Amino acid sequence: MLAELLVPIFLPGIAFLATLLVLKAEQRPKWSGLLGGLVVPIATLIGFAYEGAWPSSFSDWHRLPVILAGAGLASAVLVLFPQGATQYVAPLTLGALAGLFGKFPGMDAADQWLLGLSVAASVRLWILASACSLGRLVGVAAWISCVALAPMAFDGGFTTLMVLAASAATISGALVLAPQALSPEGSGAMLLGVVLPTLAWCGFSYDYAEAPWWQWAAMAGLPVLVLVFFDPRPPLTGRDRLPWLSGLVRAVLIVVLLGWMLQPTVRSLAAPADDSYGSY
Amino acid sequence: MQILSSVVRSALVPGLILVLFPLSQVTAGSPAPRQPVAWQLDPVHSFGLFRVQHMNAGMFWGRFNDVTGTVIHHEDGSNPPKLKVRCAVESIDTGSEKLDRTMLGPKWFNGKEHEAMTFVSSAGEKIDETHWRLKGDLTIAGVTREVDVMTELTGIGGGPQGRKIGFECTLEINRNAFGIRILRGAIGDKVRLVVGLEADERKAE
Repeated sequence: MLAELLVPIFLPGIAFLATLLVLKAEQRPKWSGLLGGLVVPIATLIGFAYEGAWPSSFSDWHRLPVILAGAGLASAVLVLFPQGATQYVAPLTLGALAGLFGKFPGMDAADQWLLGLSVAASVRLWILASACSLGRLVGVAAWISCVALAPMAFDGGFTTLMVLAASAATISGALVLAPQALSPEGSGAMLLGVVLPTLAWCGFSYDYAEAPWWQWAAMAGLPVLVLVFFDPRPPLTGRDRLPWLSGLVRAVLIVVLLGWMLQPTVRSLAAPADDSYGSY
Repeated sequence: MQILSSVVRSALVPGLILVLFPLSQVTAGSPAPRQPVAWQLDPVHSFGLFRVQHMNAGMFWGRFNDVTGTVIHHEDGSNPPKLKVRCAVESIDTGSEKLDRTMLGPKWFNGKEHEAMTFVSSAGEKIDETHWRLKGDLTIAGVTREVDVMTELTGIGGGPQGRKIGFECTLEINRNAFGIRILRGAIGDKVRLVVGLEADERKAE
């Protein structure tokens, strides 16, 4: 089954990268959010087809791809604003969008407010991060976060969320290869700010596994740590001023931190399964 | 005088018999009452089993432990029993905690959005004294379908605490009809359900 899921996982990332590469470098920031907002819901559709599990009726978690598509569309519009206004209008607009529509199971009004606030904070952070450390580092940070969320979703039996997180990882990977798409005024940074907290909230609300809330929150917020650890005083040129040894030590620290936070999930996934289909 | 005493005797004796032998004892062994009796399902002694083919090989059995509801039964068999059964999906028990969690996920029973499976019978056809084919609405993961349920009255018994009634219901469904389409091919489409019900007679308020 995992082999079959590789196509829905990688196809959106490849489509995203291919389209970005067709665009001129200066156009990438403008279109990256809209493209990402389109390919992630497409990953959901491909995932359904591959799982043979086309939904019979609307489920609360289907709000997730709808929110992501909406965020993609909104971010494409928001980049048209003057940069000064975007810095504040984008977090507020996207936070409101996520908070309004993100009613996953077991979430009450207070949770929706929290979701909205976390998305607003996340979007602001990604815009700042893109401004500070313009370059491949931002994409790498998002990639690490998405990669970490995927096994947590899989451990909770939420296969489609796993596909979505993994697809988001391939899209982040594409952003590493085309870093211009993540400029501070770019819609790609805004979309990343929506994707990570929303994925984590959706996973948390459906989770029957042992992953506590802080593990979901830590994974969605991991890029903050990555960026702080790696580039505390980033130069505007985007080049790392730190010596390579210091960078390596920080990288090891991040990997250790990630491993520690993912420990319950890894333990659960490594537990003996009854067949080749894992827990099924 | 003799006539008077025989009139008094004929009037008093039946009354005396009625006083000495309450109606319930007099009617023992006589045809059962036509009035339907309401029963409350005993969740400890009721359960739901499901069976599905795994990897085109073995038959896998799982169980739901929390089954509640009511039964209305005409003991003279004049009408089919009326079943209203609720099965909490979080009570799934496959013998593996990990598999339980998986099956509660959004693509299976979607336990967070649909806490229970329900069956409400609406009509029935009598097959023999203890068997009925009940028609009713079965709801799984939020999808409702009309199904036929073979229902057997397994017994009416009880103890010091009151009377008990037992039923065994069996049916076969196609999980795709209820929107559970994940892993088709690896996990069989047809699912057999066996539901064992035991209920206590409801005491009059």
